[in-house]
Amino acid sequence: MDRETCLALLDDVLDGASPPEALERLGAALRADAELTKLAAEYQFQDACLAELFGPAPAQFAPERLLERARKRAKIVEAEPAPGLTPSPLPAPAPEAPDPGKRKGRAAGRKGVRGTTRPAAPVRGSSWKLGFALLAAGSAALIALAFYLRDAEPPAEPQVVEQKTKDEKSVAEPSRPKPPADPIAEIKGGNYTREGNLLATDHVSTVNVKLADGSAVEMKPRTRIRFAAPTEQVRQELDVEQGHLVVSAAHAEALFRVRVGQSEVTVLGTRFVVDVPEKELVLAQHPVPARVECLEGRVRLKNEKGELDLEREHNAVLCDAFAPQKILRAQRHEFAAFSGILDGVLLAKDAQRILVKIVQARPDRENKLERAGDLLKDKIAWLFVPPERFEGAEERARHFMQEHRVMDDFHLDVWGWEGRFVFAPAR
Amino acid sequence: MSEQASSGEDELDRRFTGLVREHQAMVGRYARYLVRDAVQAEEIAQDAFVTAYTKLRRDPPAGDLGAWLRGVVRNLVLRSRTKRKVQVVFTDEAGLEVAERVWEAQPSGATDPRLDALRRCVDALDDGEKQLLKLRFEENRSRGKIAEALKLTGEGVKTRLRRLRARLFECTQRRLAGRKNQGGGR
Repeated sequence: MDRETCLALLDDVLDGASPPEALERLGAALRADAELTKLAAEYQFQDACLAELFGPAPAQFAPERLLERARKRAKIVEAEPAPGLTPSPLPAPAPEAPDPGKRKGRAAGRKGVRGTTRPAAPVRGSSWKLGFALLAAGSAALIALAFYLRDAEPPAEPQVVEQKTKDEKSVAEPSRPKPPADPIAEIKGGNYTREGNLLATDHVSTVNVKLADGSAVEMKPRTRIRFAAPTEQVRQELDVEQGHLVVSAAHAEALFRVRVGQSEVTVLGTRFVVDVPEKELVLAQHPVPARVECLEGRVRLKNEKGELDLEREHNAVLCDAFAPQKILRAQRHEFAAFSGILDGVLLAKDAQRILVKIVQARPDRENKLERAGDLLKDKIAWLFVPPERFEGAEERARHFMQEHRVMDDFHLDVWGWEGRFVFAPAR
Repeated sequence: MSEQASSGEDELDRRFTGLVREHQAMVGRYARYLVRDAVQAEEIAQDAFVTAYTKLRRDPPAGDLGAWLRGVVRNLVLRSRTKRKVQVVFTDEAGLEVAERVWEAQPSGATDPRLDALRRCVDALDDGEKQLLKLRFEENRSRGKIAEALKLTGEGVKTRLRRLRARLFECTQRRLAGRKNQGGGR
């Protein structure tokens, strides 16, 4: 292969515009010619330098975070139960699900699957002992304030619960008897680990926590929360690091507070869901949206960019990068099944799902969603991949996203009816 | 866990975090050099350190840890090429070895003559050419998107990028050669 042809092929590869067969041709040519190989390396080095000159600074890895991952991979388990408390034993790692093989067909809407069949990695007994910062929502979502209105209940005064920063104390709070030291009354369900004020579920367990004040928190798998010391004014305070919670805050005059990242939400009594993605996400530059669903009453979401009141049975997305946004409330028949072609960019991932920014959506002729192109364009969405199909799915997703090809292995679940699309403005 | 084993683990952790702090910029840059996609490169860079931890536990390497880490990255790139469909130019060990030799030929450290030379060559470009590079390398747009932004055809963008790369390469080589002749080389 002559130099010009080689450089032309190399340009295609460097710009991500090379079909696989061209890449193979280039690879074969380079293997046969050491000078061409050196030239290609020089050009590739130049591109890397251009990326350094023009591109954003590479993300810095927190060494402690890498250490955590490394230790997990090396299967180090530190067992240091908190004084007086015995951690719940974890299940033995299950054998990995067999590779299902590639499935044909277009993407179609379907209910996603919570939980995973992946082997449960041992939860470190004292992960915070090493001092690395447990990640608050790098996505930073807020959890909503509860604006409690319940028709059937004895009339409670409508309480607008304001979100507070740590420095603010804007709500008049009558003094109450000091609450008991241990906020947890009972824990039922699957496997969990409790270390001091940290409570974490494992990969597969749902745990129901009854709190001393009568509130209840349902923790789904891979959820981590911390309990702050209660005070006379705030009877309960949770810090959600990651995972999925359903909170039923009991009626009481003292306040129930939930915190995610640097924001606080204080509630009086309501039911809502908080869904904070896991922290093992790839890109630091893209804050990950979290989902809040109001189950009863009304909920107020607030961050520095804006605020939003959420009605019962509505979903919204919270992210540091933009004001809280409602999830599109399209009609069921519109999103019952989406089949077509998605062009997009992979933003991040966790154990079960892939976060993508949809650049373009082109429904096929059979699709009932006529407005898909408009509705999905520039949106950020979670794609749920069934656990048994997840092996290799992330790689295929990335390949798909970069290559702008049809994604035929994934099911798009749309939040609000069966699914889990989060529609949010593009960054 | 005995005290001795505990202190051994602490020492290993300390060595590991020190390794990350010292080499993460280089490893990230190296991964980006071998893998076209920034996201994939970042993943590979992180995986390299995670892999390195296991090796540190079993068989700590001696000598140049930076070169050793680059070897870990190369192995990951090779594996990733088949497993993850990572797009790489060098599809085998021999090619990656050449890539490593090219890398080693570049000075590292605070002042990188190659980077300086390239920066000067870029500064000499006109605004349109800089805009093209900005769209490609800062905003990471595809050729199609660049074409839309600049109101060109895809082929037009392809040709312009190819010519620009060639010009910058020649310009950089001339500047480095001139620098060497002046005694300011490596």
